[in-house]
Amino acid sequence: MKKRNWREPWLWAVTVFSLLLAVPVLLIFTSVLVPQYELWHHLFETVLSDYVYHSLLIAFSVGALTLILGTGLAWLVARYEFSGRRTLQWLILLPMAMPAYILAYTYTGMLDVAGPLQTQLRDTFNWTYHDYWFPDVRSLGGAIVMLSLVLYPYVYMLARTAFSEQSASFYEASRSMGVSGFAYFRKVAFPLARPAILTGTALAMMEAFADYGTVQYFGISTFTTGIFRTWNGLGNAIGAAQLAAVLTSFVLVLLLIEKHSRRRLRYFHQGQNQHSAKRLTLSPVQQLWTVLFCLLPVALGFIIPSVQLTFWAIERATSQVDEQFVNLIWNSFYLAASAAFIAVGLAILFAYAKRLRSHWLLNSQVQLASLGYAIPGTVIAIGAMLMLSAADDALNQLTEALFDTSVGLVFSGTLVALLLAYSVRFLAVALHNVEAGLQRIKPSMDDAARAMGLSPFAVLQKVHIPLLRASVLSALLLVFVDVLKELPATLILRPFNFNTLAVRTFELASEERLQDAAVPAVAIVLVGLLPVVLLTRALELSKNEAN
Amino acid sequence: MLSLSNICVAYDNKPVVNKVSFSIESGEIGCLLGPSGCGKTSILRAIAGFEPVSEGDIHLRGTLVAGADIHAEPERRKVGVVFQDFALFPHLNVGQNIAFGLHGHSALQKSQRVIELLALVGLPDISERFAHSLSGGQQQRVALARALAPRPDLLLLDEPFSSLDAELREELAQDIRRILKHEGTSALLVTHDQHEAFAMADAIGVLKGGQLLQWASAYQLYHRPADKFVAGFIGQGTLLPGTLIDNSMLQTELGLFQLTAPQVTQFAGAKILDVLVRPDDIVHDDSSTNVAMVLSRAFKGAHILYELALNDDPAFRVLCLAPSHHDHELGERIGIRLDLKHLVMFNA
Repeated sequence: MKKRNWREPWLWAVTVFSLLLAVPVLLIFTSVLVPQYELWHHLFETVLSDYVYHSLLIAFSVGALTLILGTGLAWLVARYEFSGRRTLQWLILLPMAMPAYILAYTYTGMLDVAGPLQTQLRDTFNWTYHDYWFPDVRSLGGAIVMLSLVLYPYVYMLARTAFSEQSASFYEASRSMGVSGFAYFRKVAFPLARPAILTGTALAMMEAFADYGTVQYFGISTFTTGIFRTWNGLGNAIGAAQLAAVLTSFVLVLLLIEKHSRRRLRYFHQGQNQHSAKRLTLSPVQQLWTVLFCLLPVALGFIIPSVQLTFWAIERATSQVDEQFVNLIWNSFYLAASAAFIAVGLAILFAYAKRLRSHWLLNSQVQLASLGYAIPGTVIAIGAMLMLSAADDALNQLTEALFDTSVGLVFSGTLVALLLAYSVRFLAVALHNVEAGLQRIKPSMDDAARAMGLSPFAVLQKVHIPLLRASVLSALLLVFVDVLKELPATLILRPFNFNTLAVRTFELASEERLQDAAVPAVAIVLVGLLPVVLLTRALELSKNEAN
Repeated sequence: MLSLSNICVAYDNKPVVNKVSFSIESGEIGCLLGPSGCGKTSILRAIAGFEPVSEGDIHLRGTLVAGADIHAEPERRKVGVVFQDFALFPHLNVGQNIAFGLHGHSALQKSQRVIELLALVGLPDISERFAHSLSGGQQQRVALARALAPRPDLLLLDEPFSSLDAELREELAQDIRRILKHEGTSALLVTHDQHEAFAMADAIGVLKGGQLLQWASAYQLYHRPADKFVAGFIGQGTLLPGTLIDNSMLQTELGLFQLTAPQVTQFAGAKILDVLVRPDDIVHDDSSTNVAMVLSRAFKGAHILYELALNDDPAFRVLCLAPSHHDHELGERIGIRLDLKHLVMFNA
């Protein structure tokens, strides 16, 4: 590498934008420098132990459940041949399309005392309300089940890839040394897939920590609801930021586990280029049980709730689909689309900067800026608010000094705040896709094109853009859908009277108008299906490439 | 120890091994040699139990383990296997890899066996290391140690040198032979490289298209090949056409040869036969009056391999390995002497 000079434009651009994205999270941590004795005394006396206990219990239970479910499903699909396997292996991904809060509303509506199931039970058996016991969905256990049902695909996807890439010779070597069946799973297959499984589990736990919609609706005090309460109810911004700092520290531990696992993944992968093991055929009875077991989470996490939602939505369509609803869709659409373009634009800038100027400072800045996927939306929102309010203050002081007039909240009170928060949270999604696309364009291709007389601009036009198009499109789509589903940051940062589908669903559900909430919820789920289709295709493709 | 009789292996009803029979005595090292796709690896997999046989029997230590209706699972056959990609578990260190197949041993017994094996393969201090930090040759030795750990009396090696550098191969092949002989383990090696086969095996089977053409020692394969394919596959040489006179004499460009009694019976009625001439059958001798024209030459260091045309006719060519300082030009006529110990002939 040549010596870089300080007027390096790539380095400057990346520095400016990565700092912009990193400031909200850094501000969260600097908040601890302003002690809030009174607040912490109050929290300590009252709800702090609940926050810690509930958040940790939810995250670890969800981690355990998704690990067992995701690994079990992945092992069955990767290792055994049964009828319907090809269909099931993508059906299993469907619950990803369902935000946990929507699942929570749906099951509450279905299983409540006044819901269809309990009504039916009472009518059939002539029971009254006190005659029978029925599990309460709106409970800690309920929240854990809801979150696990939509988060297990993270573990499943990574575990399935890991299992199906394991070389057949590992299996054969084990058998020749007298190890087969479950002992093989325990001693070889699982330990080999462990980095992938841990990565998936860490991601699922991060999402569980970040959840706001489900726990808020179920009335469980966690860090996210506590941050909200401190911010909105107590009006203590620094205190909210300090709570957010504690939550973020939990998540950072997971992040370290995830990063470490990914590193191990790399060298576990070495020497696994041989053909993968043949799937074992199951007896008809075993096949039936396997299919039922694989269908269960899909039915609970997607099919049953979406059928119910569709019924409600059709029922309420006439009253709910009005001018306001069209406005809602338009708001959600342009917000998500703008966020997608910004995040992907930044991702392209960062990815090219890394490719063209590999510099340790630049690389670590990009790394820092892309940590946002691990940080809960609530935390990012508080950080963005602190940063933009300060910017607004400074701007207004300036305009008052210069022009004797104030311009109002141009940053914190507008969509700028939302777009900043989304960029922080979803840059990693975009960057991951763009970098994967860019990796396929080998530097030798640039050299070859240049050697054949193309200018740098022509190389971009004739080589890079055609090759990058697919990954940029999928990056746009993924960010778009993630923004559409995002709830807590949108709730905190949306401008006054500005509504999106997710916020509207949340509001209607909070007013116990669950059937009405189904209309925007169905729209979110339908859009949420798009990335699942994309993922299925990507998984198929990587399998074909492996063969 | 191991005996195969008329085994057939098929994938999806497509036969890949056709009626192969051979056996390996206790302590003997056998080798299956052939070009890729000849079915040699399928035979190895059938012996290990990874593939069923569609016909024929496999006996291990006198017990039937595979037949048309019998298939003992691999874990019951107690056969060690060294894989082409070594299949060392990346999540276990070298010691744990070697101890993987040791069931029902105490921790102390295991660690003693690991130390013993690592000493045997000449890598005493790597027990704590992981496979990804080892060189290819070290991985190969660890894979061998792991396969030998449960003291199997038969070891199967599938193309064990294919992922190693050429210089390492022969050295390792000889090392492994020494180790196997030291442990008294019988072995069957699969390879496409005849030098590996020569370096390791007591008996070699040459395969083509799923059939075993010949099962013999390296010396026999070279000097008494069973057919033209084996003759061409093993070593170098040319086929020189000759005319049969009176069913007992063969007239060739190199002179007149007398057939042995069995050959007279074997080739009764034939008119033209091909004689196999190896490079070592033709000795370069500047004083000889018998000359041949140099068609091409390949410098081999200590030797030069000449391709010569007899009677200036390129249709009749032989190879000759001459000492390196006998440096002759293309087209030059050089003296040769015939040193043919025994005559190998095939129907033309």
